[in-house]
Amino acid sequence: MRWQPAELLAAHFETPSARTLTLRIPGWPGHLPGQHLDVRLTAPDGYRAERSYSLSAPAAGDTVEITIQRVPDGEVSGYLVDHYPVGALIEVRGPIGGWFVWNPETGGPAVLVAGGSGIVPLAAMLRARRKSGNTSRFRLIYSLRDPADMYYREELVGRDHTSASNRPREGDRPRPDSALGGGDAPGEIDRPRGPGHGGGAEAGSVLGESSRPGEFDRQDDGAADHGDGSAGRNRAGSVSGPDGDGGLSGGGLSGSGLGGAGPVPIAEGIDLLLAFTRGTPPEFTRSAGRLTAEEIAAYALPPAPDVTCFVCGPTPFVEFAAAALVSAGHDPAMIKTERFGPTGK
Amino acid sequence: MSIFSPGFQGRPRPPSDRTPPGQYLTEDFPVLSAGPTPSIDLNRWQFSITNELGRQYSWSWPQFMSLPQDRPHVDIHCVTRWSKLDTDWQGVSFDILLENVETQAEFAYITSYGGYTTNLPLADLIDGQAWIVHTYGGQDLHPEHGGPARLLVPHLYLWKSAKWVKSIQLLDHDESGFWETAGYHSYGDPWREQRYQGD
Repeated sequence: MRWQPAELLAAHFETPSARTLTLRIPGWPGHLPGQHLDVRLTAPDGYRAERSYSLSAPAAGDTVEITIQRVPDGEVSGYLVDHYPVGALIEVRGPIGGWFVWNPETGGPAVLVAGGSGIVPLAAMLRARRKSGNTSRFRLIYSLRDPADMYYREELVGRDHTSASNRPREGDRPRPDSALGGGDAPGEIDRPRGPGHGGGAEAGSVLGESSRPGEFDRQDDGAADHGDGSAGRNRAGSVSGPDGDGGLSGGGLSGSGLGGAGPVPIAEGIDLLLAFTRGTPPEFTRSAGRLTAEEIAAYALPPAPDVTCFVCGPTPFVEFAAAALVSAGHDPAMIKTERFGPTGK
Repeated sequence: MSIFSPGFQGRPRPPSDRTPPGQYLTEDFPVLSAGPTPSIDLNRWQFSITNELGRQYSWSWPQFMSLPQDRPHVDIHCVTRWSKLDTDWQGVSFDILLENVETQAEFAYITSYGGYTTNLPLADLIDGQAWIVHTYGGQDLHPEHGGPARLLVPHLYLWKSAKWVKSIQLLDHDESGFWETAGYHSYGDPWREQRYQGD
């Protein structure tokens, strides 16, 4: 597969450690959600480093989007998050991967389970669904440390007018279609940018605003607690259904908008369960704590021959969530996983 | 100076003689699998080789464990770009497993518990190049890493070293496995950086 130049058109931070890059790749053939691309960096002495990154949105012509989580000592992620300037070139090739994909032309209902930055390829699926008009039912379960770690916040849970609306983004050019949610999000979604947008203090307003489905992040957190596979406590509490209010107008994250600890609708046919492991927005109904097997069983779509499960995150999280889906009755052959990060073993 | 990635310095350069192009060294042992980790009962575990004429040779777990054991000390290379040096395994060489198998076949098609498949030339399984291993670092192979037993073909990218190996079919023709069908290279030599079709 051929390496080709890609220019950074624009970039913004999803969290203080995750940056979304909008790249222009002349001749890009398009891709399916879930696919990734390879990035190659070259040092002045000719040394090269390569990594793969999930595409986070459908292509818009020759423009694509990836979200990079900075990992400790990551030579490539460190460069792409902290140093890669708008206007500069890197080398890329792709699209790559034909298994962990949801095809918007043929894809059916899907359970998307994200641990931390595992949200990235699942965001691509949500965005592709919206763009295509495919109305298959989606259920997104997103495990993350706390509100500040949320990727694609505005698309997922609504816009924060107080703190995120007017920050400058690097570069000033068009981006791929990034809206994750339903059809009634008018035009382009204005997402939070820049580090610090999601601090705890502002979480209430961020999360309580009108909801639009959003984005995800890749880090070794949401799942880190699952290493032993134990389900832990079930903190789900009452399992009353989604608030009838509809996510697009006030479902949000704050407790007042929720009828229970279960998923809330964020767009037509898409329900979201946020599982914060360390800290929640004020009055968020579900207490902070690891996602449990009971929650996965209760809140994933019921097993059915046409339901595909996509699980992405750090290895311990994926092991745990995939096993929980199997226990809940999903066919292992219909559970597609993508893992990253060390196991610690 | 490269026109690409201005300002990129990179890590201290890895020892070039043991790190294939595009790879970086890791001390961890990352896990990559396409689906859930299967649960496998050793009492029902069976490994089989079927030749091109349909004759099957099979081993139960006790039979497999009673075969002569080998202790490969090898470097491993994953297509996702990590390489791990000096890994220690224990298992049975394919030279032992194939000793009494009658075959003129040129290709092997591997199937795992859980449904994973991969393919490689039979020539890459023999002459001390490949094993079915059950122990890593002195301990039972963890299910996440392919336990109770996996293939180990360290001179090819690690996706060829099928986890949870169940059976091998010897074929006259090459048949693509799971990742090979999904756009990855049919052979997968890390030293020639054969990651994807066409590389």
